Amino acid sequence: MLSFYFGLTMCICAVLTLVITFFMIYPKNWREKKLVFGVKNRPEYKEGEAAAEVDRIFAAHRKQALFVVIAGLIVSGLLLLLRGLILQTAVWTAFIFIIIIAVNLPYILGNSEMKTLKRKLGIASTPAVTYTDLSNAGAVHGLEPAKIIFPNVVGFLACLAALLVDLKVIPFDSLRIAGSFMITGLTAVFWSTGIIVLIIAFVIDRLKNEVISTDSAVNANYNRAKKKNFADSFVLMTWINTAFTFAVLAAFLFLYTDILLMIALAVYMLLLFGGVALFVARNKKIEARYEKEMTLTVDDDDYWLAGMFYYNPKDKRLNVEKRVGMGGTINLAHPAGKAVSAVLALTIVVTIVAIVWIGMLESTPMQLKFEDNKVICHQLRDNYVIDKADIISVELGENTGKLKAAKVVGLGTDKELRGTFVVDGESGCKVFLWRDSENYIKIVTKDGTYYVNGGTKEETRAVYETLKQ
Amino acid sequence: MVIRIDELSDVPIYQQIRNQIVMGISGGELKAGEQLPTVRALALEMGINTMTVSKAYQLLKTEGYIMTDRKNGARIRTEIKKHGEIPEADINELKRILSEARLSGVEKSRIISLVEECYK
Repeated sequence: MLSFYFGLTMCICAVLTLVITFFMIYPKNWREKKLVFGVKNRPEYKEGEAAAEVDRIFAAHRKQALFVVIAGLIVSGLLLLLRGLILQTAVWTAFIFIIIIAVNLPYILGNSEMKTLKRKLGIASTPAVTYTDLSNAGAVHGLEPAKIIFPNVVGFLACLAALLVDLKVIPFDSLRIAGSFMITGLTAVFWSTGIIVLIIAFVIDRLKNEVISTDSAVNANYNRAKKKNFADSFVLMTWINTAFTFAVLAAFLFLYTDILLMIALAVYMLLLFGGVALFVARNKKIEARYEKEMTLTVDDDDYWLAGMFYYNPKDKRLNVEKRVGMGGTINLAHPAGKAVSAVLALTIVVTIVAIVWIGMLESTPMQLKFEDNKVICHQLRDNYVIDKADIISVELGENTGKLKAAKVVGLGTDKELRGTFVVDGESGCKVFLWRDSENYIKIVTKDGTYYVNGGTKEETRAVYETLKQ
Repeated sequence: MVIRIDELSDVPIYQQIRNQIVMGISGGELKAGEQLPTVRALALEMGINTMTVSKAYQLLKTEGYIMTDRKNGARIRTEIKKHGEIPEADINELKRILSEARLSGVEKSRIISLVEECYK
């Protein structure tokens, strides 16, 4: 059931992301937009043969994107049939990577064709010319700091409450996992999402103001409206995040079931997507309102690689507004931008390696053996080595499924439990259990308690017999 | 007031900033006593080094167009010194521009109307 709700949550997220991305990147009418596939829209594109060519480029790549989106929606639906959390996580992660690239590919191709057309028409880019409104420099903001700090403070209270429960300052006798810091960890993860949103909100509020007119008042109003839209969206998202942090806490303390948590997660994601949709609609309105007043344009298309990555060594700013999508992006030519890109690339590689590693673990049964007076727990590598001399007592348990184990650090999947767990109220236990194997050995040593077994019942019993001798 | 910076121009960026602020003061776009953005804010907005903006402000201060203090930042001077003279270098520049215009066949009346328009 948990696996189904996980799949459902991922499916909802994928469907909404695909639909919103499609309408953001591939709008219906390119003539009304500031950019066509990341290339500044110009009057020259709207006349004669050029217009027909842009129509062709736009229609062809929009059609490709529509095909990718439909395929993505079908695959998302099919992935609902998958079972097993680890397999689902691996397949969904791979699918997300692939679909992100696939849905952006027509845009990248469109950008390349638009740049070729621009050269054909003899339009020279003028990236060397920039405009700055002296009256508005550093003075136009839309974010009221208190409005975004307050929900984060409220969210922090949820973390604090979870910490007090884990420290047993607030007694919650019915809660088995109190002391494992699992609730603190989980609430802290969601609260920290709010902190990340807060940082992004401040960064975006301080982005360079766009100069669209020689009239400073028009520039100020346009930028204020855009920044206010960003700020309102971020405040809304922070409140949704705070509400969910409390929902997580409540789910653990009062009505804990995995399914309820998954439903709450699905609602949380739906609300976040609602926030994004609201932002997009309001942004569209602002652009339409100021369209006629846009008399100044700077053509910096050449600094936008593939129409989406900003690389401008002459620009000392790190953050710039995105050309496509919501929010800001980084200048890849900036030293900090290079560092961020490296970290991002590393994160992607680590995620892929981690998924492959977990997949390998899942398909490799655990082994329990006794060699050189040592109990060795082995799975791809020696995880635990227990010296016989350190063992105080051993006990054979007959039903692995009946153990009440809550993970603190480690791996807890449908197939195995491995790492440090709270077992039957005792914290700091080392666990190495293959769930399909019925029995297990509880080994008490002077350093702590171990719960271990091998891939088969016989293997575990054999080691137990040896230890008893 | 909108400043236009051309990175490919022979004129250094700090000089372009200085020139346009002077034109802004002369044209009335920047009023006496008006606050200018801080060096950091303007550099961030323009995506250039703070030293470049600082140099432009320093030049404007030396020439008596702006005043700066730690508390209020940079402001347009309420009273700009009127020495009634055009510096020698500017006269030479004007001569060059007029010579080129004459060689291009621009009428004297056109130049005079242009001067009147700019001098308003």
